[in-house]
Amino acid sequence: MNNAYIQQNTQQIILEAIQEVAPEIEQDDIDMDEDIREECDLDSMDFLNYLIALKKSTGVSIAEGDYTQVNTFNKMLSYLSDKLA
Amino acid sequence: MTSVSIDETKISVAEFEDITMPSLGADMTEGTLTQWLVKEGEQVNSGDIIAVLETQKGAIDMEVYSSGTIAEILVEPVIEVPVGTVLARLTLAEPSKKVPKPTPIPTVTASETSAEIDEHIVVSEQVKMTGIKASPIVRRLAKEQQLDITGIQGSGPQGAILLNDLTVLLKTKTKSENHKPADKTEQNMRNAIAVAMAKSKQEIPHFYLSLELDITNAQQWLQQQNQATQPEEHVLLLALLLKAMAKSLVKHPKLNGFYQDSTLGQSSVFEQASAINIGNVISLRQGGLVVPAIHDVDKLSVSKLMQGLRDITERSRNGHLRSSELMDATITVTNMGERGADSVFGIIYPPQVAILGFGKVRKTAKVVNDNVVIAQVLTVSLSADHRVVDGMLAAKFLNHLAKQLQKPERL
Repeated sequence: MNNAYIQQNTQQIILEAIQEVAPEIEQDDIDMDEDIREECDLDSMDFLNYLIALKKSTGVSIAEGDYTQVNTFNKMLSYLSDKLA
Repeated sequence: MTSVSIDETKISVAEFEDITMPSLGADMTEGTLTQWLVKEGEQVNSGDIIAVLETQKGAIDMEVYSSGTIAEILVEPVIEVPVGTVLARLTLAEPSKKVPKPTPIPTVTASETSAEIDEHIVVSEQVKMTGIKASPIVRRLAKEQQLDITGIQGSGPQGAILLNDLTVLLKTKTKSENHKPADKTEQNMRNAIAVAMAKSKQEIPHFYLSLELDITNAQQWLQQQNQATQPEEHVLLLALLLKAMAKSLVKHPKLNGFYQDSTLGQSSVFEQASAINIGNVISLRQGGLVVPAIHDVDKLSVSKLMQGLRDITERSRNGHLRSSELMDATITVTNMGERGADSVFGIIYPPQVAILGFGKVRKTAKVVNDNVVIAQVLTVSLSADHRVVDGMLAAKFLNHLAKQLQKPERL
């Protein structure tokens, strides 16, 4: 698997996790560099369920101390890509 | 023609129980039966889910409140009926050992939301479902009702067809009205909320108090707890707030119960509830709200309570709230969350007598032992029914709540 493939795959996984809590959100609705909670209108419960969905699909458990490293779509993408590489 | 003596009729009435379209709130006037999960002759136990309903509050799993055998199914899906319509009859297993039903909620009737009974849906086209993404219930329903779902643009992930999308189709097929069904559903919910809240404001003499809660300790404790745990074990502040609230309600039970007509038919009386079931206002993403209850909050550990909160939030979204959860709240909480307002003064949900509002967390400078420190605070506000409680009791309750939160480890 090359990096571009992992990147694309991870992007789809993140989107699906978001859609579990916010089914109406499409990729086009999200500015990848803005705060994901604002972009997708997620409250703290939604955000937690989003992290749980990601843990189920990737096995990566994101600790509360790492929240600032995953607060945009792009940051989440690089965080997960690092962990999954 | 049957000829039964009066005595025999009496006996048969005692052995049967009507299963009716439940009222899941003072603002609900009608509901749609979308699916039976039981057949005639099937045995059921109290608490079993026997049908799926589509209501102004979304899809609901309907429970049965007695044990017995389904004697007769009187209404076939998909059909919209007024609250109270008999849907089926149950032969009771033991009439004497009937489990008490949740407190019935008086229904507000609004002329704008009067029920219209839909015609049965029969679409003669063949059911074609190969290669279509749709939720299992949609597939079942489409098959049963012989609906063609090939043309529907689904609102689920990757265009999957959800029950909501089908409801629109069902209404389109059955109603020959000029306006769009989606507009009507939204308008119905708006009207229902308007009627219930107007009734509450007109009848209940509300009074309001608020108190700033110092939650610095609680936040620190949560941070420590969550640092080492997996996301699914994380505890949010709301769980602590609800637990503290339940413990304070044990001390001040006058805020937990119903003000309604007495069984003796005289003036209204307050009846203290035996359990502490906290209704949580959950905003739906498509607009509107639901208020499912978490039962016996005072008896749950904080982590169990957190699981309960995640569970009802998830089921509010995907339409699997149980009918009892929408019927038996004894007090309500509205939580503005971290992006909301500093304080919120709610309107009491009758026949309850109090609603608590939590504002957003903010940092503030506070004087502690003559030193200025940074503290995290939030404003809790209480709207209470003055027919039942007075200001002093309400203030004591809020102060008790504030004290509880200083020792989060004991909650």
